[in-house]
Amino acid sequence: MNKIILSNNTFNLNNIEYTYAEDFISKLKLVVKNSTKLELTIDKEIKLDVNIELLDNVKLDLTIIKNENIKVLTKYKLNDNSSLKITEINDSNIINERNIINLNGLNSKVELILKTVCKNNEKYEIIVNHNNKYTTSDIITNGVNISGNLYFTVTSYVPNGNKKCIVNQQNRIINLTNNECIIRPNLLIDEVDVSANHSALIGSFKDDELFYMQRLGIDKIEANKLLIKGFINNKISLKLANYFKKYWG
Amino acid sequence: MYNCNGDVMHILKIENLTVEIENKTILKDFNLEVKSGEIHVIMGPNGTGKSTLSKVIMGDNNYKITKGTIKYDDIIINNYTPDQRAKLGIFLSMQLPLEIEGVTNADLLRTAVHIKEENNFKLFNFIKELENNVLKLKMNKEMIHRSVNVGFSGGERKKNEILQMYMLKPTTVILDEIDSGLDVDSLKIVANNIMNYYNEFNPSLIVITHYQRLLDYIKPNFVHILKDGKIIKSGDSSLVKEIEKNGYNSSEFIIKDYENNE
Repeated sequence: MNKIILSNNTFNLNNIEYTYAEDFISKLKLVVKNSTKLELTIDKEIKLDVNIELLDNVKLDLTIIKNENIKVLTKYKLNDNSSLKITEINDSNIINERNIINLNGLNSKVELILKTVCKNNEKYEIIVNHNNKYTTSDIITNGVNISGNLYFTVTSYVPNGNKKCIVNQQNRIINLTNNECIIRPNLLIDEVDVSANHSALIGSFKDDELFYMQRLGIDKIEANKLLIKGFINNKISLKLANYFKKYWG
Repeated sequence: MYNCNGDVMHILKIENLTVEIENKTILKDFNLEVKSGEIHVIMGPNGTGKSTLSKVIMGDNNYKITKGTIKYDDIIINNYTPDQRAKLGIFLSMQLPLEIEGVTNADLLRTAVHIKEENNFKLFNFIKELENNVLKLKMNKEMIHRSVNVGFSGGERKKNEILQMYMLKPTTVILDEIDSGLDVDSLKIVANNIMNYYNEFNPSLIVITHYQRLLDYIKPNFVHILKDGKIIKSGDSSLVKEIEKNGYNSSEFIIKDYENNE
């Protein structure tokens, strides 16, 4: 697996061309030439601009782990028939993050799964531009707010003429505090031949779910723990789930 | 309390129970007594309070008890939470088992069994028993590691409920339409497993159903007809045949219903 660890400048990369410049705002540029996997660990306090381009017919399975206070702007450019899967795990105090995903190529696809445990202040903005026909985006943002403020803004654009696009968003925050959490789900679609779905939910778990567990002898506190664990670990690997183990076992 | 064979006897006793949801009375002066080893079947038209009864016994706080008591072995459990009732030995198999994404069957059952067995819990024994029960129910082994009921067929969900029963070994089992969503083969597997459990552990069974077909396998001692929140007639299994033949609108039931309302 390709690996980048920013704290010690590790760049173990095959099939990926890269440049990295450290500065007040550091810049990382990656061009993915063949299908591959990449783990990017941002484990130092940093302001960072990232550019990632996928060439035609390339698949990238990208895991991003953030466990320091960071401000990051990431731009993705996907060419024809390219496919990007992003799994992002965040366990830091302050995150200000903007992702711009340009689906430029015909039949290009992005799947993004974002998981975070918010303790202080986290702001995420995700913009998906469906710049071509037959493009697909599937954005899942899941956060558990334990003591901070959490904001998700997810915007999907489909301009007129870009037919047969598939646009999905599922945004959910489990807010364990009385602090402010906001989800802004935007679907800006100027084309009729598009399949689009979105859900946005802030709150705790449903009474029915708790009852289903309690009737097996599991008390409310333990049932909530199980549900949170299930929510945050769902759709990610066991290895990544370990990052959240310290919170709910 | 013990029966004449020296087995431990549990009694669920419901007296004059009136239950409301959103200011609408669902059960009215409802009475029922169920002892270990007894099989009670509750039938009745849709919307008469059968599922409400099962959830109220289990402690669903969406329902408000305005009158009467539910006792388990002489303890009034009206204010017990569902988990406290489960710890007493009451188990509800739900009509529509929920999907819980992200929580695996294994995690859910391990947590429940661990809580029940406390310090006696042994992970190896748990896994062995779980695998045995999965085999008994002819379930796919992979289902243990999948999210609870997510992507399960109707039949698989019902088998999953029976798997939970087997793992928790309750003394009073409420089966709310366990036969709905089951094909002929699955019905046979589920019903036979319920009877195997019954024969091995001597629990009391409260079986809510619409159909005779389940009762080809589970032979009740008592059959009750529930209408408008009340039992309007009780009898033995011959009552089921009567209902199959005449439905719930036979003159006798209407007269009984009238008398109850009077």
